[in-house]
Amino acid sequence: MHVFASGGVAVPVQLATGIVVGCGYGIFALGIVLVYKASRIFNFAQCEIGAFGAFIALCCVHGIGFVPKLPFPLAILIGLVAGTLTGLGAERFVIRPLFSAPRATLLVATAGLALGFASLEALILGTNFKVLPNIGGPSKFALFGSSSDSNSYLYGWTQITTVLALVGTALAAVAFFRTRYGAAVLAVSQDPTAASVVGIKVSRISALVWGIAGFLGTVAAIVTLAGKPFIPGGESGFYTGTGPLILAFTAAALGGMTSLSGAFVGGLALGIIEQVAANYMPSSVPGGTAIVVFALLLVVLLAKPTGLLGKTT
Amino acid sequence: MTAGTYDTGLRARPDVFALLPRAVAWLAIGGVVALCASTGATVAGYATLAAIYVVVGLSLNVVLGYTGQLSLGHQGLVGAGALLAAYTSTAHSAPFVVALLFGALAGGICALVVGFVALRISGLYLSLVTLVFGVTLQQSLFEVNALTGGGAGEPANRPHFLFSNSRFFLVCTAFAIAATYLDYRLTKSKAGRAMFAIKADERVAASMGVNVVGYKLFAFVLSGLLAGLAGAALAFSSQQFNGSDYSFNLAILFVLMTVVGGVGSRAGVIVGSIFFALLGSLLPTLRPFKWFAGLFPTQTAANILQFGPGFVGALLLLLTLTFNSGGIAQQIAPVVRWLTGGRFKEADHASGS
Repeated sequence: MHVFASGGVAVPVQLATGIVVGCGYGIFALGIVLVYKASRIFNFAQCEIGAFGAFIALCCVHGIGFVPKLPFPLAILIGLVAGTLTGLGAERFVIRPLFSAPRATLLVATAGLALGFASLEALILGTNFKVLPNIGGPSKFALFGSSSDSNSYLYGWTQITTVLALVGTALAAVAFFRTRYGAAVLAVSQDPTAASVVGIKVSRISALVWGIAGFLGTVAAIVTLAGKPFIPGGESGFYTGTGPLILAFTAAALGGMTSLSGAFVGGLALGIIEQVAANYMPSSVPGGTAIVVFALLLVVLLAKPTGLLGKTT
Repeated sequence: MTAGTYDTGLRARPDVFALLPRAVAWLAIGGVVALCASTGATVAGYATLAAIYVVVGLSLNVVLGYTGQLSLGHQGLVGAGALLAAYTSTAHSAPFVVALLFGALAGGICALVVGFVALRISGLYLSLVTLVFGVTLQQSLFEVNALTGGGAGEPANRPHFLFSNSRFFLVCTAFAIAATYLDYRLTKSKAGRAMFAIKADERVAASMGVNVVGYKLFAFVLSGLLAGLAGAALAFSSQQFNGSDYSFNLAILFVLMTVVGGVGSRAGVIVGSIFFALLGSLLPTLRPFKWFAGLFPTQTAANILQFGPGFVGALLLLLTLTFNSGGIAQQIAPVVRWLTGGRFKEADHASGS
């Protein structure tokens, strides 16, 4: 069997890396779909709100600014709370005042939010970036091949924890929609007026959804950023094309913007596609991954706007 | 804004006392332009950027303000124009004017591609596609070594007679004025009215006999031509094309200046474009801002001076959207009305542009 691709990375390793990265995209996509389902808003700040939560955790770990140095688990906990509060704050101060504005205005507003958070991080952190510690500690083992290969072939508890945490979060999010609150979110998304008539507080549901979205974004950001340098507005952030936002939105579109499981599976698929494309696209074509993702998005939107896994509602 | 503004002909008799102060005001604006051109290379450089951004803002306003299609990939169109202008002028030693034309053409062709997509996909999904389109252009086309001269960037040298920043600034001002006039003619034409109808309601527009497909494509191509021209001017302004300059950051800046300026309003967009073009370079030199940054430790102060403009821009955008949805245009409407010959205070049918 031809195991090694042109890039020299074995196929199982591509798949494993793709799954780890793709779970992150999937969780980001879950947050995007959740907000879209509840209020028909394209939340371009999803990744940046998450990155802001991760940034707060980073500040706690390294003791940046007025924040004292805290142990890592506590820092993560604070980061998660901060990310959730960021989502709530965004809803209260930006989204709710614009509730009746055109949806394109809200899209610009979320993009502005993302720009604001990225600049705020840059203001505090500057260009000398810090590293968020690995979640599972430094221990590594070779999942494929021998451990004498390059370091990138090694997988450790970080990757395993990543996948477990993200899949767990995804399952929890899907389970949430089976509860009364999930039903209330659906009701609000279908008709806010009718929902308020039967006693659902629309603004409270909106806040709930943005809080959850902030939490999901922070989980994904912390887990995918672990062990990597945190560069404001960089890979973690909103600006870079290969950054998670575009992939998360493509994943959400694969699920037709309304299917939670579709979004997560779409994220997984995109993570794998990204790895495979990076290895098989000829190096003479720059931005091969971006081209593949753009083509995929166009094909899905043009041929099947309800998404590959979406329901026709 | 446009519907219902009928010229009653009451201003037919020229009134010297009404014309004089306006003439003085316009002369003052011209004086500022002349001052920018004569003060020095640095000032002319800032002013050049402002003039180019005015063209970009008007270009984005055609699709966003008039036709109602949000483009988050305008940096791709601008970059395509810059790339082709730099490439033709350096690799094929094309004359300045030809390189500009090629730049505009590149922007127009890229916009045509987006326009075709916009026929099938609309609304939020279209914004998503334009976002990914712009980023894809930046990562693929703008990184092709054969076009961009590798990592060093493709040079785009100005012709000898435009070598000074001041002269080039005057050329860019001419572009901005031409774009403004084109925009003015557009809003008064059949095409402009068709675009407003499409923005209001596509189906109703179609049922009234408006060629929705044709005018949508027209809007995108016109916007792309302007963006490409602005991109070519941008390349000649820095005398170099660097693909990494045309990141998503820039697309957000373009949307910022259009929205904060006032979507759909010519005067507002022009003021917004100038404001945001100067914000990044001038804000760190302002004394109150420096004083504020000086309150913090040295490293943080440097960060504030470097990244502050982005934060201020985002803050302005959110404040504009939540408290003042008309943008700058809403505030300056009386001034603009007065400058264009109307009354300072006008109770009925306020003409924003």
